[in-house]
Amino acid sequence: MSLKKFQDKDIIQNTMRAYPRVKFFIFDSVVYYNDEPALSGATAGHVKNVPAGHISLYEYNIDRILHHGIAGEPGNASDPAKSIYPFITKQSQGAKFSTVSATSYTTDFVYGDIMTGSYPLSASITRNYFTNAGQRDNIYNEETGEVLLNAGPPKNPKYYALRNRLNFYGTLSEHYNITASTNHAGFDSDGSALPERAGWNKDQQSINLISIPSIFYGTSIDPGTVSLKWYFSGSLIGELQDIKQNGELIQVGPAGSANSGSVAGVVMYNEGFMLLTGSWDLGDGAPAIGILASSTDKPKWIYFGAGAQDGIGVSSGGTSFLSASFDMSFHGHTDTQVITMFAHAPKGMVNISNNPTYIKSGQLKMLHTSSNIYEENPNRLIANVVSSSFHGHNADFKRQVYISKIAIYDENKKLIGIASLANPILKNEQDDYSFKLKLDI
Amino acid sequence: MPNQFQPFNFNQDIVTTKTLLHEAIPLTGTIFKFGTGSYIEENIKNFSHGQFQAVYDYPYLSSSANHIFDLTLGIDEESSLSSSATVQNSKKINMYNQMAQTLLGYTASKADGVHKFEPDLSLNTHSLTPMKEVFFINLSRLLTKDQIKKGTFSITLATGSWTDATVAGQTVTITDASASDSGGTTSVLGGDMALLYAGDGALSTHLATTEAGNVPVAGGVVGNIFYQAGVVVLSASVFQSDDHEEYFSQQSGDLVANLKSIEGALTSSAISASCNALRHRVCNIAFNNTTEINSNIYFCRVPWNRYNYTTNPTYVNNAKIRVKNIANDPPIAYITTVGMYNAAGELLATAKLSEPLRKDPTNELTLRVRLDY
Repeated sequence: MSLKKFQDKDIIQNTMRAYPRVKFFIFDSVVYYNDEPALSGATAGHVKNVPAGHISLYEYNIDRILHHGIAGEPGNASDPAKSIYPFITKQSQGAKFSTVSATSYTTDFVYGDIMTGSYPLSASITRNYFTNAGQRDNIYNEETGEVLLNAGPPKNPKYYALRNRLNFYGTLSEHYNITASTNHAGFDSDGSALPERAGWNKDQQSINLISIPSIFYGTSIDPGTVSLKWYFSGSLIGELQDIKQNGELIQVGPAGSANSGSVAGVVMYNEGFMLLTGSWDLGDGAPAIGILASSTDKPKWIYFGAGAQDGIGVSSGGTSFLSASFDMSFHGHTDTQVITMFAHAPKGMVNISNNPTYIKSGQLKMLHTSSNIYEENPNRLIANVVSSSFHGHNADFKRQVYISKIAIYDENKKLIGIASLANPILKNEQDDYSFKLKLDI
Repeated sequence: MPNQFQPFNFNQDIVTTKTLLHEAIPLTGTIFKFGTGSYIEENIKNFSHGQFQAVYDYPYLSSSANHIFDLTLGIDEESSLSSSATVQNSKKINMYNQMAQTLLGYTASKADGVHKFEPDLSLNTHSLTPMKEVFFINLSRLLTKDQIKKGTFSITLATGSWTDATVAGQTVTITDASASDSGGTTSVLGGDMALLYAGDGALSTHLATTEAGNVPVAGGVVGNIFYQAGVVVLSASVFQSDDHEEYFSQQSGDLVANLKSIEGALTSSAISASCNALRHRVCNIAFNNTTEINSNIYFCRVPWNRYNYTTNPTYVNNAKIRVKNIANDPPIAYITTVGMYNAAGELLATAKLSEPLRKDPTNELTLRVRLDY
């Protein structure tokens, strides 16, 4: 078998960039992802065995009863498994599931024991509300009875984990900064009037943190595509967009609403977090909906997304909780490396096949064979597969093949890939073909 | 950005390992409608070419559906059931030969040059009659991953008459009990192959072929399994009764009586109809799959006298190191990330620690960085 070597211009490596649309709609403590309804299954509560708004990593165990049976013996008749699950046998390599702690790995399992995991693995957005984001626990000295206020470990470690990163993005927009001092009214370099802007300290603010796992958006959220909409009884009472593409979530709607143009929070594009601090009332006519703080609270951005895996529901929310619904949309950003290979079948080449049917059947394969000699029949004929236009007439022989597959070999001539054609291509001696092979990494 | 590198000792600091991750795959009969009378099933996709049917674990028009296996059958041209009167005769022959060529390859000892599926591992025992009428279950790569784990496959079939196929005692479990990682298999073109054995019961002495007058095969061999290809070859003879009258298939529109023996189904039913009949007799399929995870483990050694300072901007405050009060205080650093560089000093990868590690001149650390691929 002859091999043809790829030339420099035959292999192209590039990046395919995509911006997948992502939309979450939150209502009545249920998150809907990309408008996908919550489907109940025949045997499982949810068809995918994950709640609405969650992504099932492999989408295993669709509409199945989750039951492992005897570990590693799915076909055991006494207790057969009803769902797919992964397992690892404890071996010297030290591999384990991340759900097995180092202590448990050492003490609970001996070599040869089976450690099981479970499917489905899922991801979803979550909302955290911090009334006083930077608050710390108090430390009580048992010997002296002294109480050190706000000196212990953070009460909201998720917020503390983001503080450094927020300050890092301070160069993008000052609204990322943890602290900012008041800017008094004045004029900018163009002479335009600047209103007074109050300072802040995020540590002392109420913060609404929305966490978005990267499986939803890829490498980053695409700047300029973020939109947060708050609906009350179906009417839009507030919309935020990152119109400056610098992470500031600016109120842009409804048109002419109070506080339009104000920054209500920031989005961390690379990390997948949104922090909302806007605490002004939304919707002039909206009644108090009583989410969290008090029953007299009106809609605010710090309450946006209430019900998204935060434990808030009809019972814990206010009387108007069911009137509130939330829409969060943005575009993700994914980079896929693509290798494009051009495999050429020039005229006068690639004209024979090693397929056994290429040779006319019924011919003697060997002429002589003994302990000293092996001689194939040199007079074997190639099967004539040329199509004739006339009934009962065999067309004259032509050297032709049908190309059905293209095999790719590495520099050691090891087969590393096969591209199959949808339909075999007829190649005559005078034909010149180039096949375009694409491989997404 | 590091200002000093700690080179690897390639003989001691880098280890290559292989870990086998398994998944237990139970395919219960509810997926392929075991025992139910209706042949109208949304989990099943039939094609206009009629050569096989695809089985999904959920209505196949749903994006959530996973393809779990394809089902088809093949008849060798030397089979007594092969004739011009057989429905889809050429398709059944082509299917057999295609699968045999791909999985077993060629031999000079057969008239058509293609190995047949045989009830032994030697593939050259001419005293045994090859399996000339077989069902193929092509399990999807999603389920088999790198390969089926040897010795874990089982399929439970209802082999009795159609009317009482699900009655207790009429089912038989077929396994690859003799196969293991250390033996019981043979290497063929399609990878490692083993034999499928029927358990105790009538099938334990059954023939592996539907042709009458053939030599029985000891041990109840009723098929082959190809572990890397994920293909199960099941002899149609498992549904054959001694009197050739037990009914394998019942389908509206099939012949006058709507009832067929296995021979009748193979000769006078389309491939899809026979697959339907088989599918309704599969109580359960179970196996473990295997995924090979290759790993490089890099032991990143941090000696006592290195990495006690950091170039992190926050390390310095007003031109003074934060963690020192007086000049001869010992330096302290917290390691949060391990950067791995190539010979040209280009950053290739970073490994993050779950929590920062305190480093000062009084301690030495070895960080174990594992790279799976």
